[in-house]
Amino acid sequence: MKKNKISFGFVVPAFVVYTILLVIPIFMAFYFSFNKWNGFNAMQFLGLENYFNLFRDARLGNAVKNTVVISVVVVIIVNVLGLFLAMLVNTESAKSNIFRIIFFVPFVLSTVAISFVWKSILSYNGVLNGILTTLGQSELVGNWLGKQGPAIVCIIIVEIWRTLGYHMMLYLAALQTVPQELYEACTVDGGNRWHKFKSVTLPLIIPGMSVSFLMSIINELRMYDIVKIMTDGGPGYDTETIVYNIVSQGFSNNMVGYSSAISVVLFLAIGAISIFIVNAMSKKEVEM
Amino acid sequence: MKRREKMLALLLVVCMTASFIAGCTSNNSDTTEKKATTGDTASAGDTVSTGEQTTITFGVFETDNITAEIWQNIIDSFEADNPGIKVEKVLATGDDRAAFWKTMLSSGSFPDVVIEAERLATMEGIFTEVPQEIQELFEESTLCEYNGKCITVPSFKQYKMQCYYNKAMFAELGLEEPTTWDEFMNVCQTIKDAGEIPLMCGGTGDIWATGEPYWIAVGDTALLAKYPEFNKELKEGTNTWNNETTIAVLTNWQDMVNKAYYYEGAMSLSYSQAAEEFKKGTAAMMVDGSWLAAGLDSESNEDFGVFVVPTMDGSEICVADCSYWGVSETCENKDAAFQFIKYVFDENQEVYQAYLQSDGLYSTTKNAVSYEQGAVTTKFVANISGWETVQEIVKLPGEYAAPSGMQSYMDKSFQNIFNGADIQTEVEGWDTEYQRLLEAQ
Amino acid sequence: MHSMKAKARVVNLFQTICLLLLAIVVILPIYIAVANTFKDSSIILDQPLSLPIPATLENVISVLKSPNTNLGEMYSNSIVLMVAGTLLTVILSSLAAYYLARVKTKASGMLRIYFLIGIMVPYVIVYLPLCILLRNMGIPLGVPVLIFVFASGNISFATFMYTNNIHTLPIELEEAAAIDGASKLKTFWVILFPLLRPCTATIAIFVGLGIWNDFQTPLLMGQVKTITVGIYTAVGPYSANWGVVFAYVFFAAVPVIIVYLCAQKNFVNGLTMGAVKG
Repeated sequence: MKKNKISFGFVVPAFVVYTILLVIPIFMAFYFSFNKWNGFNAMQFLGLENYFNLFRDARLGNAVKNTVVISVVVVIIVNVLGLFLAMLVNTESAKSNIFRIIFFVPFVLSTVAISFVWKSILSYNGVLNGILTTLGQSELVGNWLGKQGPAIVCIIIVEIWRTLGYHMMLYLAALQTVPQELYEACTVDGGNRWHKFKSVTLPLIIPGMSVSFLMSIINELRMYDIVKIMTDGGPGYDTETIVYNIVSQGFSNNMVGYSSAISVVLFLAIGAISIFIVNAMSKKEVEM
Repeated sequence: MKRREKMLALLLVVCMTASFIAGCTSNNSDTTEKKATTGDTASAGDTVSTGEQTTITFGVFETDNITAEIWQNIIDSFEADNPGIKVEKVLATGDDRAAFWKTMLSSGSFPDVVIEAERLATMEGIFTEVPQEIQELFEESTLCEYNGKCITVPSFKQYKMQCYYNKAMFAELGLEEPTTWDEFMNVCQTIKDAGEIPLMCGGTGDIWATGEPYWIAVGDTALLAKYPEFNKELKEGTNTWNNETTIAVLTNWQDMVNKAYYYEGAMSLSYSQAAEEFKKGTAAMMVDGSWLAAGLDSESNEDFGVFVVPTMDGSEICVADCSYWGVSETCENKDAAFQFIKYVFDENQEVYQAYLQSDGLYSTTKNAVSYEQGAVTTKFVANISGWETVQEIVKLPGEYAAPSGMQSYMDKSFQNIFNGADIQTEVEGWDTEYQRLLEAQ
Repeated sequence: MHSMKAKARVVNLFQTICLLLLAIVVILPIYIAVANTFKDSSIILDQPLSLPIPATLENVISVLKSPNTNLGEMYSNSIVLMVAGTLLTVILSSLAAYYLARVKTKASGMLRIYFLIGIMVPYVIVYLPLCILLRNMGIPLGVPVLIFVFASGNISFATFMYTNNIHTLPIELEEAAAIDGASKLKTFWVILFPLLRPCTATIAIFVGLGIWNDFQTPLLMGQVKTITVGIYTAVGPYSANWGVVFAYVFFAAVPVIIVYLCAQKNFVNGLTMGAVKG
């Protein structure tokens, strides 16, 4: 029988485009990170100096702190709430369908549009304060975007608003893979809702859960658009995220080598976290 | 199978090395190559337009005052008087200009002529040397050199910050324009006591609008009054940001913020919003540049007056900056580009006048161009008549220019101070950052 | 029995109320943007939540007449980039996935991981180097190259999805085709690809959406005026005029919402498909 192998040629087009336009620039950035460069003139080799410096950079440390805080809060809330919502809409009714559609809408919108709209709501003379004043609660009127604490909370709220629907859908999909019979068996065994959740739902949605966690972590660590437009990293540096810092160091400060070093570290960090999560989740799956 | 793997690895390595070599080392040779070729074409003599279309790209940005119409007017007039040369406008967005120009630089599509060239001029090799005949069009005091070469042309002079005020509110409270610092503080306190908001400023999206107005009006003037060669001293290391004057100026400011002289929500407003709020009467005063006067005059708005923010030590010194245009080294039609510049600044006074008038700017050319000034602008100019003018420390062009990134660092620092940060720590940060940025240039 | 049914109904009611409240929070910003587009700027701050009655088209017209905003050009850029980018991604990735899924060698295993790296990359790392690389290759920035750039960024996700999906398809079909003497390429297009349609739908939706909404990449790489770049650039000077800002948001967001509402079944199915296989 003639063996008609799938030729390597199938992969080549994708490989070429991917390598030239993505992988090579990454390596180039990696190379830049070992140099001092303003993006235009000659480069000066620095070895690992950029890397040493970035670990001592207070402003970057602040950005990391902000990013981590935002990421942790958003990831937890979005996954817990997402799962909760998914369970609520996990019926085949028209009502559920409508809710599903509604909750997913924010995710399809552009971050630019979202940022402008939320900015109009959260500005000092924006919609939220307007409503509070109308309701007679003018003492509650606050400078939501202009002070550190509230500003970070605003960013968190907007991110949750944006991605909740997406994670709800991921969990919905996972929930729908759980066979109905298992729930019935649990009822027969005398289990209540909580038991059902703990022993039936949770173990079986672990793969879906790991996808959801992974996606939310990767996305939050890379957050930029919303921060840029809503608060521009401000007030001061209070809402600056890692990617914002990278862009600012690279483009405003002309420190391309340095900012490349930061992006390389970020990339490696995301990679490490992803691998960790995938491993941890698959171990959990085996256990359960 | 093993051969496949080897081929794969080889392919990868070859691709990568090729791109490295291509991508990284050609930066230097690029600029020298271009220099050689343009030298040739220039010496070929002035070629008469052969009927072929040359196109030059013109990189700009727009503001409330300098609108698309102003640029279009300039472009259309030029094209009408210079058939054969087309000008294509390239618009950069407000805040991200730096990022945008730099990616254009990297991709080789940097515009032929750019405004606000002083931001990039410290990087060698971006702009081409300005021909002597063009240099002679401008007042000597406005020209500057980078590394011994004149690579930018001064496009306008702009007076910076004074304090605008709401005439009605002042009248109501029986206030007069303050002439000393103490009087100024009194005015603020009186307004505050009457339950109104004394001062307005901006915040997010326009980080400069928080601290720069005050700093330029009070800080730059105080520092330059005391240390006229501040920029030079800073660069040579004989002076630091961290000194008595700076701390005094900033402490006063933080004081003002703490006494609630500023609009509470200022940090969440963009500059445009802040200006709108001021015009609506939300606050009694706003420190802003000469462009606000131009804006008010264009609306024939007579409700606002303007006074100079009294300097802390009473010296009569105010800030005026020059802005520059540059022709890029990679421009393929340098003659056309300089022709464009010559047209705007010399041949067509109307077009230059419209440009200047829109934003309350002043000409830098030897043939001074003036325009009828509205009431507010006239007052603005009268306020500082005879005063010594200096350039903002952070914007001084030429040899002692502050490194790129210093401005936005200070802007953010001002916001931190506005929100209560420790001034000493912040100013120490200015010095550290200044050094760090300087080294990175 | 009776009390259990009543209890169930109370729980049900409680759930519905929860959902309703959340739904309102979710919809509110969108309502604000749409409703205020048609209100006069001056009353927006006073009555942000009111219905736009009487409605005014002033803001919309202002956007249409704005000299820097060529809506037609922006929409066309966005559409071209989205369609071409998605198409290219789908074709390249599905072909690659066929190899990766069916050929079990060390090389193909390594390639799978190689393609996966792209998902984790913070794309900002790539902008400057890419610009330099393109310049050295002599390729000018603009819509054509941007299509390939978008494809390169999405190949990771798409190949991952396709590979997983192809694994679940029975290999007998391909073996049958091989016996019939069909070439591998034909086998792929005629037999396999149609079976991948749900997966293709998912990928098309996510990649397409991603490209449509992306504002950094077209902005930095040639200032290609897509609709999102357009509103970002245009709002600057008008940020005091909320009405105009909302009008811009309206133009950017409403087409997407409409398409979403029409095709939402596909969205849901696609997502379901993707997550399960993932």
